[in-house]
Amino acid sequence: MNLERWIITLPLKLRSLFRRSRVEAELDEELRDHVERQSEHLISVGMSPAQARRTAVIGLGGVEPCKEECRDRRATLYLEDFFHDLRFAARMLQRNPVYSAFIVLIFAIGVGGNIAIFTIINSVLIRPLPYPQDSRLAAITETVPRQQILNSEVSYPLFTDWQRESPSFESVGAYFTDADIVLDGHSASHQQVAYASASLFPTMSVKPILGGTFSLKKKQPADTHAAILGEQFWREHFNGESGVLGKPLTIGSDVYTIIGVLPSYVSPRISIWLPLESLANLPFMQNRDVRFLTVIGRLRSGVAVSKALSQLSTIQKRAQESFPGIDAGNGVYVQPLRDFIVGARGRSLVLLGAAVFCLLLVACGNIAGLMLERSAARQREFAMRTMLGAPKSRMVRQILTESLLLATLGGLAGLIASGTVISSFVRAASGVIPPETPISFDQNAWWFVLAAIVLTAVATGLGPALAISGDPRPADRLKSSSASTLSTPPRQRARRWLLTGEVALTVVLLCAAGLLITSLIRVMNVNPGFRTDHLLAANISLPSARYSSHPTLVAFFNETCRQLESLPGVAQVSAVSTLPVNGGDSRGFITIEKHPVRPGQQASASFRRVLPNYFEMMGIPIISGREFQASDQGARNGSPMVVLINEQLSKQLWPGRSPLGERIKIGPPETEPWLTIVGVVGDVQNTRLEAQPDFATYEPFAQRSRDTMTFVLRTKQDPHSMEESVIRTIRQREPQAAIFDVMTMDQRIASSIIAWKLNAFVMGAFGGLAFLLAITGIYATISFSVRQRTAELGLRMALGAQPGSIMAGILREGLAIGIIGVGLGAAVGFAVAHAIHSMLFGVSSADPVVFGPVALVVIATVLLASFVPASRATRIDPTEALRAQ
Amino acid sequence: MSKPSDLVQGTLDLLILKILALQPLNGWAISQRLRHISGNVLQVSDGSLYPALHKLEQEGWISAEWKLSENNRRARLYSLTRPGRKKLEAESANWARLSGAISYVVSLKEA
Repeated sequence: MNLERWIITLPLKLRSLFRRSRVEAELDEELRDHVERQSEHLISVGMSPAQARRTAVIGLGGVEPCKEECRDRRATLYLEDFFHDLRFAARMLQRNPVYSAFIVLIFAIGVGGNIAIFTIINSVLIRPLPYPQDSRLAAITETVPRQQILNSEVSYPLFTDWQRESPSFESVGAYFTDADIVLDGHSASHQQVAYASASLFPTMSVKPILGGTFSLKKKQPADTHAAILGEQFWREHFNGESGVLGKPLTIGSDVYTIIGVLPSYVSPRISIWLPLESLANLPFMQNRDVRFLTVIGRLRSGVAVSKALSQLSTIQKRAQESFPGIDAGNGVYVQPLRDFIVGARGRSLVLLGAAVFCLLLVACGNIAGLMLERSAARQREFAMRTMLGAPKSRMVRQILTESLLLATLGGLAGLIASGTVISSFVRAASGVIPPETPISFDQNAWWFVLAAIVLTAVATGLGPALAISGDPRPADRLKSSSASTLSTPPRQRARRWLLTGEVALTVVLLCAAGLLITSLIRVMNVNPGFRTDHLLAANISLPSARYSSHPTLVAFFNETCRQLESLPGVAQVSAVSTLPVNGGDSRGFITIEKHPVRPGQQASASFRRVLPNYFEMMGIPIISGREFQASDQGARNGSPMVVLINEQLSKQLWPGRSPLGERIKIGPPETEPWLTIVGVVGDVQNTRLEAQPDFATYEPFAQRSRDTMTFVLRTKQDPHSMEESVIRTIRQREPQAAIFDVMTMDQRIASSIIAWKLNAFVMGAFGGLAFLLAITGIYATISFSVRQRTAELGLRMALGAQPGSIMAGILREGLAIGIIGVGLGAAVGFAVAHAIHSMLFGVSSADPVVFGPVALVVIATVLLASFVPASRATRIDPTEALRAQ
Repeated sequence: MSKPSDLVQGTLDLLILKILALQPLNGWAISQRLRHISGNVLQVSDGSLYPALHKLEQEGWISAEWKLSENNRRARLYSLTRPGRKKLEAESANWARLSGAISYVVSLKEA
């Protein structure tokens, strides 16, 4: 229908729908007018008035039939019927409030869960990033095969190579993040700071909301001390004033001038951006082995990621030939920016999406089963209507309208609930959702809601609708007096397959949940290598201008430790440069004295600086050699520089020998001093609980100091309660110190395994819900089939069948569903487990510890669910049952 | 040949469109016009006329509005819409082709 006609007819259609009485009145008037005119005409040709009127009416074929035909021709029947069906459906639902509420609840669980997870997936994985032409942005990383690192950060010299020569990219930018103390006039705070190349913002097409960005022209002295604020920092610390431009800001020991403000969607966690080029003369910037930059490029339009990758690889090879050794074996990797931001978290979200979709399928199967049953009970009603001449399509529509009404109610309830689910998920899932992709409900989500409601309505209503319209002999339904013949074999079979599918999906979900929960338990049971209870940690950063000398630093930390130790409730205090289970580490390559350095095969180890008593307080055992002593002060008192190594390092580099007395260097050999190994300490999970055993080294703080450390306190009481007095004590000693991340070790560990908990919890919840639905489905079906067969069973018992054999027959029905479902589910479950292999810890993908119990529990519960109706069947009184016929 | 169902499918629609192309009319006038124009050959019962009118209106080919006609009588006046005019042209051409073909077949001499 073309547009013009559509515009002409739309008001008519609406009118015939919503102004029915008006339309009726007009039709009446029009026909009356016709009758009058025709009568007048007939009278004028000589008929008597009465006869003229009669002839006129007969000419119309009767006024009422003519009206009826006009109404039919107005062709709004579909919509009218729909509203009629809707009213009828609403009445049906009211008549069975429990049944309706149950179905709406199942819909709400299935659809609501999917809305919630879809909203998250949409926000993180589907919606474009907030940069113009975001599909052309790519992250460029280095691959370091000898360390099995795919996405290594990049050294500054390599970045400048790419900036000079990368034909597939329009421009390339880079940044790295750091943390520093920021003084804005009066208060000191610890802030996330990023150093960005001047090219970064043009590359990402980011426009500042105020002022400008770094100048692209080289060697602008004014630019080396320019600072750009993040929007959030600007609002919090400068109340969003535009007069902020040109103001000074002290960061660390340097004073910067504020030149602009960036919108908050650019890395929301960064408070301040500083020019990367201002660091160009520092030694680490010239070192090809110090990788710390995140590099983002904008592809030339029409250039594919794969093309960019092969071009950069060629350039990289050439560079390696001119700088042999250091990058040997390294490759380059280019990936779309979103993949880089989302990283492995995307897999976790996709898994949750698949799981919640399985849950929806189980829910739909369950509802379809219930509706199928209900339609069986209503078969007489439908047979009656068929006999009275209702077309089958009309009844199919009636059933679909009912399922649409239920799905809409359930969908709306789910939509409302999903808001709560999303917000609690976002609160719990800080590790799963990248900050660059905030979660929000958008147009995609609305379409999803609509599609989910319509598709679930069709999926659940279609089965019963077809069963009704496929009924070959409606007349027979009316003849039989009871409901016993209503359940035709094909319908029972359909119902059983639905249940088998439900059980299979449930088993898949339960297996995945079992694997993830086992992983979580294994992660939680990892021995961290130290005592985690009653431990409080506080990070502190000292203003470097006043704490630049080694003695001041040593004095400050030693004295503060002593002061903290004197607090009531504190047992022991020490400090470490990087706390264990902190997610990150400082690392360096290890050079062993009198061992040739073979490029590409150097081992790297983490390094930490610790204050006295660290090992004793943490409960890390000294395995051989000695702890640090007060005299280990390195160059200060002329004693040799010392180091402790962990057991893993000792075993790997000095297998079967004692490493004591050996000398090593950690980091660049040309600048680092030799350190003598004086002892071996126990292994600690220094980065994450689930990390592989790693090489670790420790140096005494008195030998080499730094201005950022973490105080660690072993308390005698609840460490939480000590937080405030600890902060107060440190503040008293140094009011300008930035104190941050004051947390108990238990809190830190809990937040480090949040992603594991979340996966296990969400999967467990989905699996549990699916299990519940499948079991109620089986229970309902078997009870129903027993009820339907009451007469048959009664007859068989009257003829001498043993209750045992009757019960066995019914149990077999349930058992068949259970065993086939479990078999199918386990087969799919193995494949799924294999696919989520990388999300597991300490459990193999085909672990019988998980699959065995799941299979047993499901089959046992299925048996139980069929046992209850089966035992009811054995109590059927044959005479009662037969008389009821 | 008295019932409209005997008319070739769609012929009544074509006749109504043609009549309304000349001038807007009410239902009764259309029925009179049908009789006069076709010289009583095509007898369309009024009982089929009104449903046909309502269908054409619903499909957007004709439109209707209430107007005062002679001696202050309200009447539902039908008129052709723009799409209706195009439809009429297309249908007339069709009809000419069809009737031409049929009369040719009918006029073939039997061998």
